Amino acid sequence: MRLFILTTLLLLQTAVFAQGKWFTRTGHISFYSSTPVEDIEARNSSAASVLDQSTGQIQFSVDIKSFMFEKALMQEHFNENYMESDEFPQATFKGKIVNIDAVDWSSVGDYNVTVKGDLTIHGETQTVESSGVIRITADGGFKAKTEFNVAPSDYKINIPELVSEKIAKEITVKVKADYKPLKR
Amino acid sequence: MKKFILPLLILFLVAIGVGYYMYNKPHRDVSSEKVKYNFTDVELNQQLSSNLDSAFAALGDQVIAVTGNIKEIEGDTAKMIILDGVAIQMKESEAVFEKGEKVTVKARLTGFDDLFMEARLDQGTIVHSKNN
Repeated sequence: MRLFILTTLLLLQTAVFAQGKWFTRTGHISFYSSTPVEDIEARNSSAASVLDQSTGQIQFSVDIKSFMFEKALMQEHFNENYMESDEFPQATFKGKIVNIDAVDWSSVGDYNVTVKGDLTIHGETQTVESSGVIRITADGGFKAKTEFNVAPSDYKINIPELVSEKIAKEITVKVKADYKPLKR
Repeated sequence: MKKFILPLLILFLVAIGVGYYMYNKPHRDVSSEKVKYNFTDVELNQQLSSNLDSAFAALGDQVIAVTGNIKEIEGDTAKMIILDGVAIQMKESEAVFEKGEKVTVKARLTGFDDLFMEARLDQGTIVHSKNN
């Protein structure tokens, strides 16, 4: 009996160990605003994220100032007028992959997932839900990808009347990240 | 009336010129700017983690030279180097550095990442000691 308990404990320990945490510091986040007047795009490749494989808890943190626009002037307006990045330097997401059990971590392939949680932009938090894909790769890591829409008005981002025709009411946000195991 | 036309025309052309320049003004080039603050990696992290709001108000968006040992190098196109409590995204053209190497990097502070508890900077370039 004692041996059984010991073996079970040992097995449990390895199982817990294998179901670890994953991270990236170089996640790609980009967004697109498309109107008949103008298309605007910005990119960022320094988003941090941590995923807990056993619970599906997932978090993102990205610096607003590190979004790059084609035009320097747009980048300036984005930071100073709309996002007020001195006051609200980060956008964050804290949530969960609700169907994390759908992912078979030991088998290479694409798995459809649903992620739900709190998205904070410009100091305002909204609950969002989005579908995405987790791709288990042969090198032992995985890639995650999702796309969703954000309405600036939901986050109290004021866009002046004068330029409102140039900025879409719904902005498409794309997230792409390449995760590696987190060793502590 | 006639004498107003030329000055107005000039004014109009200048306005267009300024507008055009503003619209196409070049991106900030951190590597050509002067370093405003010098810190070790640990010092910079402490500054931000002890009082984020006031430290970020002073240091955010500023050009900072950070010195430390490269613990990790991550990322694909633009490399991210990890010092002690500091993560710096390097300029894409900047590629000559190795894990374990002691470096001084000139970069712009963009934020403090509360997931890894690290200061985050971008547009990093290596400062070579002979230029100091």
